[in-house]
Amino acid sequence: MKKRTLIFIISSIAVVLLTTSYWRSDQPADSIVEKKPSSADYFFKQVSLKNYDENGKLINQVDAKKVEHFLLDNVSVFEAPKIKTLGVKDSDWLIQAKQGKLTHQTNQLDLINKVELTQTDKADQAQNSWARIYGEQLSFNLEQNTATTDETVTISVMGTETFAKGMQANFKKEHIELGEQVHTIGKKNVVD
Amino acid sequence: RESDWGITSESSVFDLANRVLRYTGNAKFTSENVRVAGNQIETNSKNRGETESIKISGHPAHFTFNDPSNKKIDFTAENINYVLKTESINARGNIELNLRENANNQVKISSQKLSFASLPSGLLTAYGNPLEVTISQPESTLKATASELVYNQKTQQFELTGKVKLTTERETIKAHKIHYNGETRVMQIPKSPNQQVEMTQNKKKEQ
Repeated sequence: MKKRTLIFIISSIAVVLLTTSYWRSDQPADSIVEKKPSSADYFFKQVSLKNYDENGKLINQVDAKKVEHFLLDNVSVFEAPKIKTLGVKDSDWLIQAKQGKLTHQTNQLDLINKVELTQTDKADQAQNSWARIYGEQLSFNLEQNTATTDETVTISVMGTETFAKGMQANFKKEHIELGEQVHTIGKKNVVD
Repeated sequence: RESDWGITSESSVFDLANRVLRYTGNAKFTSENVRVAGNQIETNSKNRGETESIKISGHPAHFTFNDPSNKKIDFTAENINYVLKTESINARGNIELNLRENANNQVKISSQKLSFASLPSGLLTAYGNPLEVTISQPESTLKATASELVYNQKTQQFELTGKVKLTTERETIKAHKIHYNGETRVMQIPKSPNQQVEMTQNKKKEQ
């Protein structure tokens, strides 16, 4: 087989290999979408999404760097989503993660990858957090203003650290219900 | 210095609007010298970075204190409030207390209310309708009922007030107020307008 033909075949195989590996590396390892559903029909940058109740009162607001909408699957993928919601008395909540996927039919925003919930005092200028919750996955219902997870969560509050498997948060009441194996560790000052 | 404490339970609800963490189901609190178990534990806080007190309720809740000097405090109650910073305790409802200074000296109290100014040797106060106290010491056991007992653990001074009836192996004394020093074994009965002092010798049982 002529030398030139052989070179051509080898180089075309190399090109094919390169493109597929490039395409695969474009997808983040633990991305929310195992495979990109269909291609996005539109996307936004620097997004702010506000949800109101029937009386026109703001329930929560979702900001994100980028949102890609996928018509066929009726979902939107959020990059660095931040949910702001008002607490009961004098505190606000900020819920954020690296990624989120909003299922429009159920109005549920599934957050993954460094999920963090922070409760801060409205009156506190320095915005010191009162409670901080960490996890890797959280399903946030934008309409109900509630969040749930079956995975492990860590809660820092009142000088304690609490570990539990599973959590249900109701931001209307600011109640956090923890599932099984709840274990809290605290510190106290002891005078010898 | 700082010491760790921990709470475990089957489930819990954090009421973050009111800064109350509620643990239910086989709830247990443990720290260096203290163990508390009950149906429910609630922690409270006023400022951000610290848990001030814990409330334990149960049927009954059970509180034990053990320290290296072999002192042991062990009581049950329906409700116990334990302030972590001051190590003070207030308990209510069907209290049964067992206080052991050492192998020889033991105090048992049954009352409706109990408080420790601070663990382990702070002023102990108990109230009952009436309360019952048993003071066991080598070669002597003293039993009494009264409305109020104040016990200074450091000086070993007991002060019983309100319809006091005190019984030893030899006599029974009734008075409004009786002081008893567990160290010197001296009993003092101050004059009182409320009630005359009455002493009855217990007849010795024939051998």
